[in-house]
Amino acid sequence: MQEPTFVILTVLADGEQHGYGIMRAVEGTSRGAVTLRPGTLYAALDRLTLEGLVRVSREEHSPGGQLRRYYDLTPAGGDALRIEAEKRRQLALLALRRLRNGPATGATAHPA
Amino acid sequence: MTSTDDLEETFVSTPSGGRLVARYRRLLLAYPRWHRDLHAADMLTTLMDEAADGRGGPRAGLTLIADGIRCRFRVGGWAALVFAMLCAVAGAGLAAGLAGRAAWEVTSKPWPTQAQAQAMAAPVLPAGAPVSVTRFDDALGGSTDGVDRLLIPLLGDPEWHPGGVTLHYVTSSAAARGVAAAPSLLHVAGWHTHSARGGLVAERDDVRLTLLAAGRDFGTSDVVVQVYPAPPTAAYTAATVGIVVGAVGAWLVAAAAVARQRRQSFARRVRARLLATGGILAVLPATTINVIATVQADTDASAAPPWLGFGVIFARPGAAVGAVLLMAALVTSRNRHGAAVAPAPSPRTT
Repeated sequence: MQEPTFVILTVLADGEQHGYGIMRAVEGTSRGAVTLRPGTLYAALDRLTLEGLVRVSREEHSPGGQLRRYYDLTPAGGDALRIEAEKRRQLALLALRRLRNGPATGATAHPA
Repeated sequence: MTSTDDLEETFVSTPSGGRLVARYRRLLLAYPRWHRDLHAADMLTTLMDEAADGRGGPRAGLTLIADGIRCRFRVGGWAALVFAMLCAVAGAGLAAGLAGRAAWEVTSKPWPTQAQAQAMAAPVLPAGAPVSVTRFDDALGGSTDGVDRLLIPLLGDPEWHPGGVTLHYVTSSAAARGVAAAPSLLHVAGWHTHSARGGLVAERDDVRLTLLAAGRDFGTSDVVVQVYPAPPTAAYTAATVGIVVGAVGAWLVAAAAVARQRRQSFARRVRARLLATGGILAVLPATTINVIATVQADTDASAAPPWLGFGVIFARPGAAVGAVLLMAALVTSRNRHGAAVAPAPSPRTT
């Protein structure tokens, strides 16, 4: 799972969001590490909807003819996010353990 | 965060807001039709939200166009990728054939009559009358055989001849050896000559003459003289442009068709894929031959015309059947209104 997909699913795990809401929340959640353009966001939403990981939860139609669509996670999307998050957690734990127990780091890695 | 009503108030109802909406609508045209049908209205709201936060701007417009163009070319999955590549080859061959044929018709010299051909080839013709003379006013040649004349238009031709006038002499080997003097005789008559593929090729005023002396037995030799309009360079230039335009166009059509049919029912998807696979396999022989004929264009010696594939045996009916199947696949990939179906809100479970 690519980083933007993971962050979009993470944002939607908090509840339904509309397009711009997702863009802002992705930026906030990733602390600015991931920024989505509208084109990238809708390409991802199109794919995730097709894969059944995300669905349109409701639509708002304004009097001016504008449409605001809200998206949320499907049960399959929740499962996919859980599996990916667990995988990433295991990897992160492994990395931290190796750093703690590994041969040596920093200055001690070099011969005196 | 800006609500929909605030947006309406802030943007759409003001002249500058209306202009911004119109600008974003224009920029969204960079996206393919199926994507606009599905997402344009929602994307427009998102873009207006972004602008309300002061995050839009000219650069955002450029990235929107770039994303839209990328979306037009994007195909998901290896099978769709292979299909799009095969469609690109087919489109390249089709456009090369059509463009090459059109340019050929416009720029080629007229087909010579038998009398004109004999007059032009007079310096090198053996003595006596030719045993056979054939004339075809077509760059794909043809056949004089009765059955072949019926079958070739339907099935294609197993052999390619450059058309024009062909004079066939059965003459003594001594006379055939006289062919050795042909280059100098033709040169005196104003022809530019060179040897190619075991024969002599001469050109003058965009007319080509080929001379072949093929020993048949100890007593006699065949001398074959062909006179036909030289393949025009413009036809191969047009066909090369056709390859590029056709490949890109076919890729875009294939990518859009793949994207549209993904949201259709299983039965309709299977039908579209079967039709598309059958169609592409059927058109590929003819269109691939067209591409090869264009790429290998050798205007010095017997260059095949860029639409050669449409005349080759079995490739010809294959192209016709394949075109019908591909059109059927294209129609099947569209819904009743010719547009992609927008995702409907899912029923909520609480």
